[in-house]
Amino acid sequence: MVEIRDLSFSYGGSRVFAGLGLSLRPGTICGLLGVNGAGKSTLLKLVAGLLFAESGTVQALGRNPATREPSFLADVFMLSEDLYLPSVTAREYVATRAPFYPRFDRVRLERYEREFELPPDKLLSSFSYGQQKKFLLAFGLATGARLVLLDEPTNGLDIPSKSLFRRVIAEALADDRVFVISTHQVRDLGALMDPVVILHQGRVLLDRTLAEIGARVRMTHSGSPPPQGAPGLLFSEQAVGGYWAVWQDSNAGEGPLDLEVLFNTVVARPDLATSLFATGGAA
Amino acid sequence: MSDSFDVNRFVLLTRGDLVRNYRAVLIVSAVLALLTVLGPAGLAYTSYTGIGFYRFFFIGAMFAWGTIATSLAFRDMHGRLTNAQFLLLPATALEKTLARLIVSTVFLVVYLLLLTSVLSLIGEALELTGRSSNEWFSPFDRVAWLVIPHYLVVQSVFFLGAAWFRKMHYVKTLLSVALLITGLSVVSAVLGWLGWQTWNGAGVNFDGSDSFFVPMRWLGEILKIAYYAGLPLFCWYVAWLRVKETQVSHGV
Repeated sequence: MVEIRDLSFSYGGSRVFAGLGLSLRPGTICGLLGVNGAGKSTLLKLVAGLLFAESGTVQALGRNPATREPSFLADVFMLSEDLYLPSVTAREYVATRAPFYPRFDRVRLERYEREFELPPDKLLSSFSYGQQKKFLLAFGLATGARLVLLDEPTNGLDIPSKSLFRRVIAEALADDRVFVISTHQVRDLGALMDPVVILHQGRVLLDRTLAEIGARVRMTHSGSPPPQGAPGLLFSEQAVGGYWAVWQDSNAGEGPLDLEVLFNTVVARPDLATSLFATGGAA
Repeated sequence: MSDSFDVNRFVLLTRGDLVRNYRAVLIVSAVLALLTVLGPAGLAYTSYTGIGFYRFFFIGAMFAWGTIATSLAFRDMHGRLTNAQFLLLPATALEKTLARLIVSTVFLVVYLLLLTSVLSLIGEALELTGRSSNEWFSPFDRVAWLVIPHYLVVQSVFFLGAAWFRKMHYVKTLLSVALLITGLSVVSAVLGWLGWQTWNGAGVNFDGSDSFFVPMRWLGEILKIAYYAGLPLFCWYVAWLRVKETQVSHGV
């Protein structure tokens, strides 16, 4: 559904990607993780056609996003972290934009608006940040777009809205849709995201499903630090109430998987992550 | 869904732009209506007879409002917060460009013609000018229609400026035009001086009656076509190219 090969991109003299490759399958909610400045938002913009690649290819829904063909744009929705809504009511906004999306579902939109408790006749520009985000999310999901790109979607949402967001996203996923969620809030969205993609220093360090990760590593949480140099220990860090340890274990099975710890492991030992998941074992 | 020019999408875009801007249009209209009251009141202390007031009003409003509104035509395309929504709207760059163009040309001119007519009717009925010139502004006013092509030329330059410059579109367009005119004036002066130096005293009559100047008349016709058709088409075309190649990283 999304194929990126040998992608290079930079802002002026500052290189963001050099030879990046990534493939996303339909029917998944891909979690895009990375430290600040890793290029998560940039990657979403390249996939949406808002930025153009310097070299390499980006294919989304079988098209080159940079051409911004209307039929492609009607199949893509992107929720940016920086929001803007014009000084019109929700009704006016929908009346002027919905006709551009052939699969737009007004019933679904009205349901989302009710669920998110959005005021119907207020100017959108007077909405709070969280309300604007919820409105745009409701609109985006109602467009029926197959490629949904969400940049930090839970920032600014209150606690009830976060759980509602998770439910709405899980419910909206279909076999022909792919959701890409770029976030730092892995605890908010960890249950949704599968596969997990970690971007670091211009390349993809990890692109695996949770099942694949769980089959290679095991995580433990204990009150005391693991002995340094213990066989199979990949990484450990102090956490609230104890220590997390990440172990190489080819028979790990269905143990607990903390995405924040996984992220810290991969970023701390990029070489290890690559070899562990590429070769199937030896660290 | 068609990826080439689609009339339905174009109409939808135009309608969307009108909906988005109607509050601003109402405010400007109110200001203009106020001017038709205050303007003649101020002129009552002069020797001005009131004849042609609404014509001047229309022309002034068209150039002032038209150029300012045109300068802001692509504000959302350049805005850091707004450009993604503009670029991701499922329509071609040509449709988006033409929708903005039609609003700042046809719609603006027609609206101002009608608004001026209505204001003149009300103003004269209430004798707001204080002189009761009984001069109704017809939307088919000959002089007004002679000026409209000039507005379209000026509009096209500001339209290009709106698409090209990322901020301060109006000021940058004015400065660019001033620079261009200065440059062309210098080139013309140099060419004129060279021509004078070359042909003065060589039997050429410089009062324009000489056959030497026949090609110059052709040049005048060509310049007229370039002014009325070439310049606007060029500016609108380059504006369209600019819309096509815009990325969100251009946002300010």
